[in-house]
Amino acid sequence: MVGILIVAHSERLARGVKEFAEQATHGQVPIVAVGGAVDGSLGISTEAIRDGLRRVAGNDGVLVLVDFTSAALSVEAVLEDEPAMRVVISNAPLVEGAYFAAVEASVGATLEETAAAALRGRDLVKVPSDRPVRYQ
Amino acid sequence: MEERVVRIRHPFGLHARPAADFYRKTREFRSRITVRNMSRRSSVELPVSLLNLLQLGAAQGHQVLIRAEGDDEREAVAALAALLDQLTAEE
Repeated sequence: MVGILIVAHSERLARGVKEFAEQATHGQVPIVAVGGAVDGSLGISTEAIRDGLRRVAGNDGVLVLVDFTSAALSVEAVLEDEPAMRVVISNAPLVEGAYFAAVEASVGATLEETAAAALRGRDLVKVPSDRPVRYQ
Repeated sequence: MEERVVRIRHPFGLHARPAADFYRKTREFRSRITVRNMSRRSSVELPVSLLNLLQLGAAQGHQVLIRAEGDDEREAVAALAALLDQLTAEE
């Protein structure tokens, strides 16, 4: 099964996204959350990313979801030293992407299918157009 | 072709978790499955996908149409209607 790595600048944010995606899939998909700098402040730790990738990586590859660009750059830097890993870093929004990806992975999708599902998170309309808009 | 309408009873409507469970179930059938929210004027019949399920905007009291076409359409609609009813039951 495809594994999912959540990388955010806040540990609590990453853990919350993981919790949400796990509940939607009843814990069937391997998901690891990485967030915050080494000292616990907001930031990114490449060591934590490396460790997270190794923990979640199986035979079917890893989809990485990030909150901001610098998180993606840090994952890319780590991957330079891990040429054997099959990893896709997603451009999807973090919450929607993790949710769509986890559900797709849970039905046995490939890494490519899981990555495509995550990107569909960009199309999610949260307020239906026929709902009245209220201005204060 | 087989179809059934299910009324959403849960106060939160068809939210993220039941939508995921429903979508996962649809993947067990070979029939072409579509959904439509009969209670929203803007809703059209769409192929079932996780995104489309969330885009139904199915709130409490809304009527959701499940339609299937294929060699297992009867089993699909029976199972999916029962599951949707159960997933969106009142707490």
